[in-house]
Amino acid sequence: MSSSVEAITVLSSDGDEFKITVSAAKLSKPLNWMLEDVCFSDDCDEVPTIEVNSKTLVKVIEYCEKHAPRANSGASDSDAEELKKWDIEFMKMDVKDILFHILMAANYLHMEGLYDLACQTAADLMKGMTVSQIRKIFHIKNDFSSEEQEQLRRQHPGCSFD
Amino acid sequence: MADWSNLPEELLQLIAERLRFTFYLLRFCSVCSSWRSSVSLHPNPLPARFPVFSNVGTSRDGTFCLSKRTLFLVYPPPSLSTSNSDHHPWLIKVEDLRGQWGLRDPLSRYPIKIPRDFPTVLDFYNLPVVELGQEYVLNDVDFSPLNSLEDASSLYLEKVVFMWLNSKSQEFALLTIHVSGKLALFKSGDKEWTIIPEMPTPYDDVCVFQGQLYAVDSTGRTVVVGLDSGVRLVAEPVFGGDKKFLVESDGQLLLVDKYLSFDYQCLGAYDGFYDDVCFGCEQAVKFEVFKLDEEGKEWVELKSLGDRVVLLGDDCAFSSSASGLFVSKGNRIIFRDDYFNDTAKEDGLGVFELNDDRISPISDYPGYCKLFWPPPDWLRLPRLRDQLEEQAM
Repeated sequence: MSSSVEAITVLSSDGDEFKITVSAAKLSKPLNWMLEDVCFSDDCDEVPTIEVNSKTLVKVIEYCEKHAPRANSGASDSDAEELKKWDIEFMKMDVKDILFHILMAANYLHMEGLYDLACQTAADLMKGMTVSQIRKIFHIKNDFSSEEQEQLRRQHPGCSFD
Repeated sequence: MADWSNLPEELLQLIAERLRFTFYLLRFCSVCSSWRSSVSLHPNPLPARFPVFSNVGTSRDGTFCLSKRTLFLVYPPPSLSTSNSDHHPWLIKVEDLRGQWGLRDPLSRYPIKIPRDFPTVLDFYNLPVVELGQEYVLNDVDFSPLNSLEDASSLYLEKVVFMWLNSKSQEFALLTIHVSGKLALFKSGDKEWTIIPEMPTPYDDVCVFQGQLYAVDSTGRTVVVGLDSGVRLVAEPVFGGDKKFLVESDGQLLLVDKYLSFDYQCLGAYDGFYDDVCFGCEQAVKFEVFKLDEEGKEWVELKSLGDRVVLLGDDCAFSSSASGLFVSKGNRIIFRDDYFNDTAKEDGLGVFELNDDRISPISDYPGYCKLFWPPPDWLRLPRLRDQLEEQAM
Protein backbone atom coordinates (compact mmCIF):
# COMPACT_ATOMS: atom_id res chain seq x y z
CA MET A 1 0.00 0.00 0.00
CA SER A 2 1.24 3.44 -0.81
CA SER A 3 2.07 5.46 2.28
CA SER A 4 0.57 8.55 0.66
CA VAL A 5 -2.96 7.21 1.07
CA GLU A 6 -4.63 8.91 4.03
CA ALA A 7 -8.14 7.60 3.74
CA ILE A 8 -9.63 4.47 2.27
CA THR A 9 -13.05 3.64 0.96
CA VAL A 10 -14.95 0.65 2.22
CA LEU A 11 -18.37 -0.76 1.41
CA SER A 12 -20.96 -1.59 4.02
CA SER A 13 -23.00 -4.77 3.78
CA ASP A 14 -25.79 -2.60 2.34
CA GLY A 15 -23.46 -1.55 -0.47
CA ASP A 16 -22.91 2.05 0.66
CA GLU A 17 -19.44 3.59 0.42
CA PHE A 18 -17.70 5.00 3.47
CA LYS A 19 -14.40 6.77 3.92
CA ILE A 20 -12.21 5.97 6.87
CA THR A 21 -8.78 7.42 7.58
CA VAL A 22 -5.88 4.99 7.64
CA SER A 23 -5.02 5.87 11.22
CA ALA A 24 -8.61 5.17 12.32
CA ALA A 25 -8.75 1.90 10.39
CA LYS A 26 -5.71 0.74 12.34
CA LEU A 27 -7.94 0.35 15.42
CA SER A 28 -9.33 -2.78 13.84
CA LYS A 29 -7.08 -5.75 13.12
CA PRO A 30 -9.07 -7.05 10.14
CA LEU A 31 -9.16 -3.54 8.64
CA ASN A 32 -5.46 -3.27 9.21
CA TRP A 33 -4.88 -6.55 7.36
CA MET A 34 -7.07 -5.27 4.55
CA LEU A 35 -4.88 -2.18 4.33
CA GLU A 36 -1.91 -4.40 3.77
CA ASP A 37 -3.57 -6.79 1.34
CA VAL A 38 -5.72 -4.60 -0.81
CA CYS A 39 -4.47 -2.18 -3.37
CA PHE A 40 -5.75 1.29 -2.52
CA SER A 41 -4.04 3.32 -5.21
CA ASP A 42 -6.14 5.45 -7.55
CA ASP A 43 -5.85 3.10 -10.49
CA CYS A 44 -7.16 0.20 -8.45
CA ASP A 45 -10.92 0.04 -8.19
CA GLU A 46 -11.28 -2.81 -5.75
CA VAL A 47 -13.27 -1.62 -2.73
CA PRO A 48 -13.33 -3.97 0.25
CA THR A 49 -16.67 -4.84 1.79
CA ILE A 50 -17.16 -4.86 5.52
CA GLU A 51 -19.96 -7.09 6.73
CA VAL A 52 -21.55 -4.38 8.84
CA ASN A 53 -24.70 -2.48 7.88
CA SER A 54 -24.50 1.20 6.98
CA LYS A 55 -26.20 2.51 10.09
CA THR A 56 -23.74 0.67 12.31
CA LEU A 57 -20.69 1.35 10.18
CA VAL A 58 -21.27 5.10 10.49
CA LYS A 59 -21.06 4.73 14.27
CA VAL A 60 -18.06 2.41 14.15
CA ILE A 61 -16.16 4.86 11.94
CA GLU A 62 -17.16 7.75 14.19
CA TYR A 63 -15.71 5.83 17.15
CA CYS A 64 -12.50 4.97 15.28
CA GLU A 65 -11.89 8.54 14.13
CA LYS A 66 -12.40 9.83 17.67
CA HIS A 67 -10.15 7.26 19.29
CA ALA A 68 -7.44 7.08 16.62
CA PRO A 69 -5.32 10.06 17.77
CA ARG A 70 -5.11 8.72 21.29
CA ALA A 71 -4.53 5.11 20.23
CA ASN A 72 -1.73 6.12 17.91
CA SER A 73 0.13 8.59 20.06
CA GLY A 74 -0.93 8.12 23.65
CA ALA A 75 -2.58 10.99 25.46
CA SER A 76 -2.66 12.96 28.64
CA ASP A 77 -5.03 12.27 31.51
CA SER A 78 -7.25 15.20 30.60
CA ASP A 79 -7.66 13.76 27.10
CA ALA A 80 -8.55 10.41 28.63
CA GLU A 81 -11.11 12.10 30.83
CA GLU A 82 -12.61 13.91 27.84
CA LEU A 83 -12.68 10.71 25.81
CA LYS A 84 -14.47 8.90 28.62
CA LYS A 85 -17.21 11.53 28.60
CA TRP A 86 -17.41 11.28 24.84
CA ASP A 87 -17.78 7.49 25.09
CA ILE A 88 -20.71 7.85 27.50
CA GLU A 89 -22.49 10.19 25.10
CA PHE A 90 -21.59 7.98 22.16
CA MET A 91 -23.15 4.92 23.78
CA LYS A 92 -26.51 6.60 24.29
CA MET A 93 -28.12 4.68 21.48
CA ASP A 94 -31.05 2.48 20.73
CA VAL A 95 -30.54 -0.87 22.43
CA LYS A 96 -32.40 -2.97 19.91
CA ASP A 97 -31.29 -1.35 16.68
CA ILE A 98 -27.80 -0.06 17.24
CA LEU A 99 -26.16 -1.36 20.42
CA PHE A 100 -26.64 -4.95 19.36
CA HIS A 101 -25.05 -4.35 15.95
CA ILE A 102 -22.23 -2.29 17.45
CA LEU A 103 -21.41 -5.21 19.72
CA MET A 104 -21.44 -7.66 16.83
CA ALA A 105 -19.41 -5.31 14.62
CA ALA A 106 -16.83 -4.60 17.32
CA ASN A 107 -16.42 -8.33 17.80
CA TYR A 108 -16.12 -9.00 14.07
CA LEU A 109 -13.67 -6.12 13.60
CA HIS A 110 -11.63 -7.14 16.69
CA MET A 111 -11.99 -3.71 18.26
CA GLU A 112 -11.29 -4.36 21.90
CA GLY A 113 -12.01 -0.82 23.12
CA LEU A 114 -15.38 -0.70 21.41
CA TYR A 115 -16.65 -4.11 22.43
CA ASP A 116 -15.49 -3.47 25.96
CA LEU A 117 -17.52 -0.26 25.94
CA ALA A 118 -20.54 -1.94 24.34
CA CYS A 119 -20.47 -4.87 26.80
CA GLN A 120 -20.20 -2.48 29.73
CA THR A 121 -23.11 -0.44 28.40
CA ALA A 122 -25.25 -3.56 28.03
CA ALA A 123 -24.29 -4.72 31.54
CA ASP A 124 -25.04 -1.29 33.04
CA LEU A 125 -28.50 -1.33 31.47
CA MET A 126 -29.32 -4.45 33.47
CA LYS A 127 -28.20 -3.22 36.87
CA GLY A 128 -31.05 -2.64 39.25
CA MET A 129 -33.61 -3.98 36.79
CA THR A 130 -36.01 -6.82 37.39
CA VAL A 131 -35.95 -9.79 35.04
CA SER A 132 -39.04 -8.60 33.21
CA GLN A 133 -37.59 -5.10 32.87
CA ILE A 134 -34.41 -6.55 31.34
CA ARG A 135 -36.50 -8.54 28.87
CA LYS A 136 -38.34 -5.36 27.91
CA ILE A 137 -35.13 -3.35 27.42
CA PHE A 138 -33.52 -6.01 25.23
CA HIS A 139 -36.75 -7.13 23.54
CA ILE A 140 -36.36 -10.71 24.67
CA LYS A 141 -39.16 -13.24 25.00
CA ASN A 142 -39.38 -15.33 28.12
CA ASP A 143 -38.84 -18.86 26.83
CA PHE A 144 -38.72 -20.65 30.18
CA SER A 145 -41.36 -23.12 31.21
CA SER A 146 -43.21 -22.19 34.38
CA GLU A 147 -41.26 -24.88 36.27
CA GLU A 148 -37.92 -23.48 35.08
CA GLN A 149 -39.03 -19.98 35.97
CA GLU A 150 -40.05 -21.05 39.44
CA GLN A 151 -36.69 -22.72 39.90
CA LEU A 152 -34.86 -19.53 38.90
CA ARG A 153 -37.09 -17.44 41.12
CA ARG A 154 -36.21 -19.64 44.07
CA GLN A 155 -32.53 -19.02 43.56
CA HIS A 156 -33.00 -15.29 44.14
CA PRO A 157 -32.52 -14.17 47.71
CA GLY A 158 -35.84 -14.35 49.49
CA CYS A 159 -35.61 -12.56 52.76
CA SER A 160 -37.69 -14.19 55.37
CA PHE A 161 -39.00 -11.73 57.94
CA ASP A 162 -39.81 -14.27 60.65
CA MET B 1 -32.51 -8.53 12.72
CA ALA B 2 -31.21 -7.70 16.16
CA ASP B 3 -31.95 -10.52 18.54
CA TRP B 4 -30.28 -10.23 21.90
CA SER B 5 -31.29 -13.77 22.80
CA ASN B 6 -29.13 -14.97 19.91
CA LEU B 7 -26.03 -13.01 20.78
CA PRO B 8 -22.99 -15.30 20.40
CA GLU B 9 -22.05 -17.03 23.61
CA GLU B 10 -18.65 -15.37 23.86
CA LEU B 11 -20.28 -11.93 23.79
CA LEU B 12 -22.87 -12.94 26.38
CA GLN B 13 -20.01 -14.08 28.58
CA LEU B 14 -18.22 -10.76 28.14
CA ILE B 15 -21.36 -8.93 29.24
CA ALA B 16 -21.91 -11.28 32.17
CA GLU B 17 -18.31 -10.75 33.33
CA ARG B 18 -19.06 -7.06 33.65
CA LEU B 19 -22.05 -7.62 35.91
CA ARG B 20 -19.62 -8.13 38.78
CA PHE B 21 -22.10 -9.22 41.43
CA THR B 22 -23.61 -12.67 41.84
CA PHE B 23 -27.04 -11.16 42.23
CA TYR B 24 -26.94 -9.45 38.83
CA LEU B 25 -25.67 -12.67 37.29
CA LEU B 26 -28.68 -14.48 38.68
CA ARG B 27 -30.91 -11.89 37.04
CA PHE B 28 -29.01 -12.30 33.78
CA CYS B 29 -29.54 -16.06 33.83
CA SER B 30 -33.26 -15.64 34.47
CA VAL B 31 -33.88 -13.64 31.29
CA CYS B 32 -33.99 -16.43 28.69
CA SER B 33 -32.58 -19.89 28.11
CA SER B 34 -29.75 -18.84 25.78
CA TRP B 35 -28.51 -16.29 28.31
CA ARG B 36 -28.74 -18.87 31.05
CA SER B 37 -26.73 -21.46 29.16
CA SER B 38 -23.98 -18.94 28.35
CA VAL B 39 -22.82 -18.56 31.94
CA SER B 40 -22.49 -20.79 34.94
CA LEU B 41 -25.48 -20.23 37.18
CA HIS B 42 -23.93 -21.81 40.20
CA PRO B 43 -21.19 -19.66 41.59
CA ASN B 44 -18.72 -21.43 43.76
CA PRO B 45 -20.01 -21.96 47.27
CA LEU B 46 -18.09 -20.00 49.86
CA PRO B 47 -15.33 -22.01 51.43
CA ALA B 48 -16.71 -23.36 54.66
CA ARG B 49 -14.04 -23.54 57.30
CA PHE B 50 -10.85 -21.82 58.32
CA PRO B 51 -8.51 -22.42 61.20
CA VAL B 52 -8.61 -19.95 64.09
CA PHE B 53 -5.52 -17.86 64.60
CA SER B 54 -2.95 -19.87 66.47
CA ASN B 55 -1.85 -16.93 68.58
CA VAL B 56 -4.94 -15.09 69.70
CA GLY B 57 -4.25 -16.08 73.25
CA THR B 58 -6.66 -18.97 73.46
CA SER B 59 -5.50 -22.54 73.48
CA ARG B 60 -8.83 -23.89 72.26
CA ASP B 61 -8.88 -25.50 68.86
CA GLY B 62 -11.59 -24.28 66.62
CA THR B 63 -12.61 -23.21 63.20
CA PHE B 64 -14.10 -20.13 61.66
CA CYS B 65 -16.80 -20.21 59.10
CA LEU B 66 -17.21 -17.47 56.57
CA SER B 67 -20.51 -15.84 55.88
CA LYS B 68 -21.38 -13.28 53.28
CA ARG B 69 -23.67 -10.33 53.68
CA THR B 70 -24.83 -8.25 50.77
CA LEU B 71 -26.05 -4.68 50.84
CA PHE B 72 -29.02 -4.09 48.62
CA LEU B 73 -31.11 -1.09 47.73
CA VAL B 74 -34.59 -2.41 47.13
CA TYR B 75 -36.76 -0.19 44.97
CA PRO B 76 -40.56 -0.17 44.77
CA PRO B 77 -42.04 -2.22 41.92
CA PRO B 78 -41.91 -0.39 38.57
CA SER B 79 -45.69 -0.06 38.55
CA LEU B 80 -45.55 2.35 41.51
CA SER B 81 -45.01 5.97 40.63
CA THR B 82 -41.63 7.34 41.69
CA SER B 83 -43.01 10.86 42.08
CA ASN B 84 -44.71 9.83 45.31
CA SER B 85 -42.18 10.44 48.08
CA ASP B 86 -43.49 7.37 49.96
CA HIS B 87 -42.18 5.20 47.16
CA HIS B 88 -38.57 5.38 48.25
CA PRO B 89 -35.98 2.62 48.23
CA TRP B 90 -35.00 0.62 51.28
CA LEU B 91 -31.43 -0.13 52.24
CA ILE B 92 -30.98 -3.61 53.66
CA LYS B 93 -28.28 -6.11 54.38
CA VAL B 94 -29.02 -9.72 53.60
CA GLU B 95 -27.01 -12.53 55.10
CA ASP B 96 -26.76 -15.83 53.32
CA LEU B 97 -26.93 -18.44 56.05
CA ARG B 98 -26.26 -21.46 53.88
CA GLY B 99 -29.42 -21.21 51.83
CA GLN B 100 -31.46 -19.33 54.43
CA TRP B 101 -31.66 -15.56 54.24
CA GLY B 102 -31.44 -13.24 57.19
CA LEU B 103 -32.01 -9.51 57.33
CA ARG B 104 -29.60 -7.27 59.15
CA ASP B 105 -29.25 -3.63 59.92
CA PRO B 106 -27.32 -2.24 56.94
CA LEU B 107 -24.62 -0.44 58.91
CA SER B 108 -24.27 -2.68 61.94
CA ARG B 109 -23.92 -6.34 62.77
CA TYR B 110 -27.37 -6.68 64.29
CA PRO B 111 -30.48 -8.34 62.91
CA ILE B 112 -33.52 -6.13 62.44
CA LYS B 113 -37.03 -6.74 63.62
CA ILE B 114 -39.78 -6.34 61.11
CA PRO B 115 -43.32 -5.16 61.91
CA ARG B 116 -45.94 -7.91 61.88
CA ASP B 117 -47.90 -6.70 58.88
CA PHE B 118 -44.97 -7.01 56.53
CA PRO B 119 -44.68 -9.81 54.00
CA THR B 120 -42.95 -12.89 55.30
CA VAL B 121 -40.77 -13.02 52.24
CA LEU B 122 -39.24 -10.19 50.29
CA ASP B 123 -39.45 -11.30 46.70
CA PHE B 124 -36.21 -10.22 45.07
CA TYR B 125 -37.18 -11.78 41.77
CA ASN B 126 -39.85 -9.20 41.09
CA LEU B 127 -38.38 -6.13 42.72
CA PRO B 128 -35.80 -3.78 41.21
CA VAL B 129 -32.69 -4.25 43.32
CA VAL B 130 -29.27 -2.63 43.21
CA GLU B 131 -26.34 -4.28 44.90
CA LEU B 132 -24.13 -1.78 46.71
CA GLY B 133 -21.51 -4.05 48.19
CA GLN B 134 -20.68 -7.09 50.23
CA GLU B 135 -19.15 -7.78 53.57
CA TYR B 136 -17.78 -10.98 55.00
CA VAL B 137 -17.66 -12.13 58.57
CA LEU B 138 -15.80 -14.92 60.28
CA ASN B 139 -17.96 -16.62 62.86
CA ASP B 140 -16.67 -19.14 65.30
CA VAL B 141 -18.54 -22.32 64.43
CA ASP B 142 -17.88 -24.00 67.74
CA PHE B 143 -19.11 -21.14 69.81
CA SER B 144 -22.46 -21.83 71.49
CA PRO B 145 -24.18 -24.22 69.11
CA LEU B 146 -27.59 -23.17 70.41
CA ASN B 147 -27.11 -19.57 69.49
CA SER B 148 -29.83 -17.61 67.83
CA LEU B 149 -29.11 -15.04 65.15
CA GLU B 150 -28.51 -12.45 67.85
CA ASP B 151 -25.84 -14.52 69.59
CA ALA B 152 -24.18 -15.59 66.40
CA SER B 153 -22.24 -12.37 66.34
CA SER B 154 -18.73 -13.13 65.38
CA LEU B 155 -16.22 -13.74 68.08
CA TYR B 156 -13.63 -12.23 65.91
CA LEU B 157 -14.86 -8.78 65.15
CA GLU B 158 -12.41 -7.36 62.66
CA LYS B 159 -13.54 -6.78 59.13
CA VAL B 160 -12.63 -9.52 56.66
CA VAL B 161 -12.31 -9.21 52.92
CA PHE B 162 -12.69 -12.13 50.57
CA MET B 163 -11.70 -12.47 46.94
CA TRP B 164 -12.04 -15.25 44.40
CA LEU B 165 -8.73 -15.46 42.56
CA ASN B 166 -10.23 -17.03 39.49
CA SER B 167 -13.88 -17.31 38.59
CA LYS B 168 -13.43 -20.83 37.26
CA SER B 169 -11.41 -22.40 40.00
CA GLN B 170 -12.04 -22.60 43.71
CA GLU B 171 -9.03 -20.48 44.62
CA PHE B 172 -9.59 -17.60 46.97
CA ALA B 173 -7.84 -15.26 49.39
CA LEU B 174 -8.97 -13.76 52.68
CA LEU B 175 -7.44 -10.74 54.36
CA THR B 176 -8.13 -9.43 57.82
CA ILE B 177 -6.45 -7.55 60.63
CA HIS B 178 -4.99 -9.61 63.42
CA VAL B 179 -5.38 -8.51 67.06
CA SER B 180 -1.76 -7.36 66.95
CA GLY B 181 -2.69 -4.83 64.25
CA LYS B 182 -0.79 -6.82 61.62
CA LEU B 183 -2.37 -8.13 58.46
CA ALA B 184 -3.41 -11.78 58.31
CA LEU B 185 -3.74 -13.54 54.96
CA PHE B 186 -5.30 -16.90 54.20
CA LYS B 187 -5.31 -18.52 50.78
CA SER B 188 -7.08 -21.64 49.55
CA GLY B 189 -4.88 -24.61 50.31
CA ASP B 190 -3.21 -22.94 53.30
CA LYS B 191 -3.17 -24.81 56.60
CA GLU B 192 -2.95 -21.68 58.69
CA TRP B 193 -3.13 -17.93 58.49
CA THR B 194 -0.02 -16.02 57.47
CA ILE B 195 0.58 -13.09 59.76
CA ILE B 196 2.45 -10.50 57.71
CA PRO B 197 5.24 -9.11 59.91
CA GLU B 198 5.53 -5.75 58.15
CA MET B 199 3.76 -3.11 60.28
CA PRO B 200 5.09 0.39 60.93
CA THR B 201 1.76 1.22 62.63
CA PRO B 202 -1.27 -0.99 63.25
CA TYR B 203 -3.65 -1.51 60.34
CA ASP B 204 -7.10 0.08 60.35
CA ASP B 205 -8.95 -1.23 57.33
CA VAL B 206 -8.79 -3.66 54.42
CA CYS B 207 -10.67 -3.79 51.15
CA VAL B 208 -10.76 -5.36 47.69
CA PHE B 209 -10.36 -2.85 44.91
CA GLN B 210 -10.08 -3.78 41.24
CA GLY B 211 -9.13 -7.36 42.04
CA GLN B 212 -6.40 -6.46 44.54
CA LEU B 213 -6.22 -6.55 48.30
CA TYR B 214 -5.64 -3.13 49.87
CA ALA B 215 -4.87 -2.27 53.47
CA VAL B 216 -4.53 1.06 55.24
CA ASP B 217 -2.91 1.68 58.59
CA SER B 218 -3.85 4.25 61.21
CA THR B 219 -1.62 6.90 59.58
CA GLY B 220 -3.20 6.43 56.16
CA ARG B 221 -0.19 4.61 54.75
CA THR B 222 -1.68 2.25 52.19
CA VAL B 223 -0.39 -0.98 50.70
CA VAL B 224 -1.42 -3.61 48.21
CA VAL B 225 -1.07 -7.07 49.70
CA GLY B 226 0.30 -9.68 47.33
CA LEU B 227 -0.68 -13.32 47.45
CA ASP B 228 2.93 -14.08 48.35
CA SER B 229 2.30 -12.05 51.54
CA GLY B 230 4.48 -9.25 50.23
CA VAL B 231 3.24 -5.69 50.57
CA ARG B 232 3.69 -2.88 48.06
CA LEU B 233 3.31 0.74 49.14
CA VAL B 234 0.64 2.59 47.15
CA ALA B 235 0.24 5.73 49.24
CA GLU B 236 2.27 7.54 51.89
CA PRO B 237 0.67 8.42 55.25
CA VAL B 238 -1.67 11.39 55.65
CA PHE B 239 -1.68 11.16 59.48
CA GLY B 240 -4.66 13.37 60.44
CA GLY B 241 -7.56 11.65 62.15
CA ASP B 242 -8.16 8.55 64.24
CA LYS B 243 -9.78 5.89 62.10
CA LYS B 244 -9.23 5.24 58.42
CA PHE B 245 -11.71 3.62 56.03
CA LEU B 246 -11.18 2.49 52.46
CA VAL B 247 -14.18 2.83 50.19
CA GLU B 248 -14.79 2.49 46.49
CA SER B 249 -16.79 5.27 44.92
CA ASP B 250 -17.62 5.38 41.24
CA GLY B 251 -14.58 3.31 40.26
CA GLN B 252 -12.18 5.26 42.48
CA LEU B 253 -10.58 4.24 45.73
CA LEU B 254 -11.21 6.76 48.51
CA LEU B 255 -9.79 7.10 51.99
CA VAL B 256 -12.13 8.42 54.66
CA ASP B 257 -10.46 9.71 57.79
CA LYS B 258 -12.62 9.91 60.91
CA TYR B 259 -11.64 12.28 63.72
CA LEU B 260 -12.88 11.23 67.14
CA SER B 261 -13.20 12.91 70.48
CA PHE B 262 -13.37 10.77 73.56
CA ASP B 263 -16.12 11.69 75.92
CA TYR B 264 -17.91 10.40 78.99
CA GLN B 265 -21.64 10.00 79.22
CA CYS B 266 -23.46 9.74 82.50
CA LEU B 267 -26.62 7.77 83.03
CA GLY B 268 -27.49 9.52 86.29
CA ALA B 269 -27.56 8.00 89.74
CA TYR B 270 -28.21 4.30 89.78
CA ASP B 271 -30.22 2.46 92.43
CA GLY B 272 -28.00 1.80 95.37
CA PHE B 273 -25.19 3.96 94.04
CA TYR B 274 -24.59 7.53 95.00
CA ASP B 275 -22.40 8.36 92.05
CA ASP B 276 -23.49 8.72 88.50
CA VAL B 277 -22.69 5.80 86.22
CA CYS B 278 -20.39 7.01 83.50
CA PHE B 279 -19.00 5.29 80.49
CA GLY B 280 -16.56 6.28 77.79
CA CYS B 281 -17.95 7.21 74.45
CA GLU B 282 -16.27 7.94 71.16
CA GLN B 283 -17.77 10.71 69.15
CA ALA B 284 -17.02 11.59 65.54
CA VAL B 285 -16.15 15.25 65.19
CA LYS B 286 -14.95 15.50 61.60
CA PHE B 287 -14.24 13.52 58.44
CA GLU B 288 -11.79 14.07 55.64
CA VAL B 289 -11.90 12.35 52.28
CA PHE B 290 -8.96 11.58 50.00
CA LYS B 291 -8.59 10.18 46.51
CA LEU B 292 -5.77 7.83 45.61
CA ASP B 293 -3.10 9.13 43.25
CA GLU B 294 -1.34 5.87 42.45
CA GLU B 295 1.38 7.47 40.37
CA GLY B 296 2.30 10.05 42.98
CA LYS B 297 1.82 7.42 45.72
CA GLU B 298 -0.25 9.78 47.77
CA TRP B 299 -3.74 10.49 48.98
CA VAL B 300 -5.04 13.76 47.60
CA GLU B 301 -7.69 15.50 49.68
CA LEU B 302 -11.11 15.79 48.06
CA LYS B 303 -13.07 18.89 48.93
CA SER B 304 -16.28 17.42 47.62
CA LEU B 305 -17.83 14.04 46.92
CA GLY B 306 -20.11 15.66 44.35
CA ASP B 307 -23.28 13.64 43.99
CA ARG B 308 -21.88 10.71 45.99
CA VAL B 309 -22.87 9.56 49.45
CA VAL B 310 -20.47 7.42 51.48
CA LEU B 311 -21.91 5.01 54.04
CA LEU B 312 -19.63 3.71 56.78
CA GLY B 313 -20.76 0.50 58.45
CA ASP B 314 -19.20 -1.79 61.03
CA ASP B 315 -17.81 -4.25 58.50
CA CYS B 316 -17.92 -2.42 55.24
CA ALA B 317 -17.90 0.99 53.67
CA PHE B 318 -19.73 1.67 50.45
CA SER B 319 -21.10 4.49 48.36
CA SER B 320 -23.98 5.43 46.13
CA SER B 321 -25.09 8.36 44.08
CA ALA B 322 -27.60 10.62 45.83
CA SER B 323 -30.10 10.01 43.03
CA GLY B 324 -29.78 6.23 43.54
CA LEU B 325 -30.81 6.75 47.17
CA PHE B 326 -33.69 9.05 46.11
CA VAL B 327 -32.20 11.89 48.16
CA SER B 328 -31.79 15.36 46.77
CA LYS B 329 -28.16 16.02 47.69
CA GLY B 330 -24.97 14.02 47.98
CA ASN B 331 -21.57 15.11 49.32
CA ARG B 332 -22.38 13.51 52.67
CA ILE B 333 -21.10 10.70 54.85
CA ILE B 334 -23.52 8.53 56.81
CA PHE B 335 -21.87 6.81 59.75
CA ARG B 336 -22.56 4.91 62.92
CA ASP B 337 -21.53 6.49 66.13
CA ASP B 338 -21.75 5.62 69.83
CA TYR B 339 -22.73 9.19 70.50
CA PHE B 340 -26.06 8.86 68.73
CA ASN B 341 -26.72 5.45 70.19
CA ASP B 342 -28.37 6.59 73.40
CA THR B 343 -31.43 7.85 71.59
CA ALA B 344 -33.17 4.89 70.04
CA LYS B 345 -34.69 6.85 67.19
CA GLU B 346 -31.34 7.88 65.75
CA ASP B 347 -30.31 4.26 65.60
CA GLY B 348 -26.73 5.36 66.13
CA LEU B 349 -26.52 7.12 62.79
CA GLY B 350 -25.06 10.50 62.02
CA VAL B 351 -24.63 12.57 58.89
CA PHE B 352 -21.53 14.57 58.03
CA GLU B 353 -21.80 17.39 55.50
CA LEU B 354 -18.61 17.79 53.53
CA ASN B 355 -19.34 21.33 52.39
CA ASP B 356 -19.53 22.82 55.88
CA ASP B 357 -18.01 20.12 58.14
CA ARG B 358 -21.26 19.81 60.08
CA ILE B 359 -22.36 16.67 61.95
CA SER B 360 -26.03 16.07 62.70
CA PRO B 361 -28.17 13.13 63.76
CA ILE B 362 -29.79 11.39 60.83
CA SER B 363 -33.24 12.48 62.05
CA ASP B 364 -32.40 15.95 60.70
CA TYR B 365 -32.44 14.40 57.23
CA PRO B 366 -35.84 12.81 56.59
CA GLY B 367 -34.84 11.64 53.11
CA TYR B 368 -31.91 9.68 54.51
CA CYS B 369 -33.89 8.41 57.50
CA LYS B 370 -36.39 6.74 55.21
CA LEU B 371 -33.67 4.58 53.71
CA PHE B 372 -33.18 2.83 57.04
CA TRP B 373 -36.23 2.72 59.22
CA PRO B 374 -39.10 1.95 59.26
CA PRO B 375 -39.38 -0.29 56.18
CA PRO B 376 -41.25 1.57 53.44
CA ASP B 377 -45.03 1.43 53.34
CA TRP B 378 -45.11 0.05 49.82
CA LEU B 379 -43.71 -3.19 51.25
CA ARG B 380 -46.84 -3.73 53.30
CA LEU B 381 -49.15 -6.49 52.29
CA PRO B 382 -51.44 -6.68 50.46
CA ARG B 383 -50.39 -3.67 48.41
CA LEU B 384 -47.10 -5.12 47.30
CA ARG B 385 -48.67 -8.40 46.30
CA ASP B 386 -51.24 -6.58 44.17
CA GLN B 387 -48.58 -4.47 42.54
CA LEU B 388 -46.43 -7.47 41.74
CA GLU B 389 -49.34 -9.41 40.33
CA GLU B 390 -50.28 -6.49 38.16
CA GLN B 391 -46.73 -6.34 36.89
CA ALA B 392 -46.62 -10.05 36.12
CA MET B 393 -49.70 -9.83 33.93
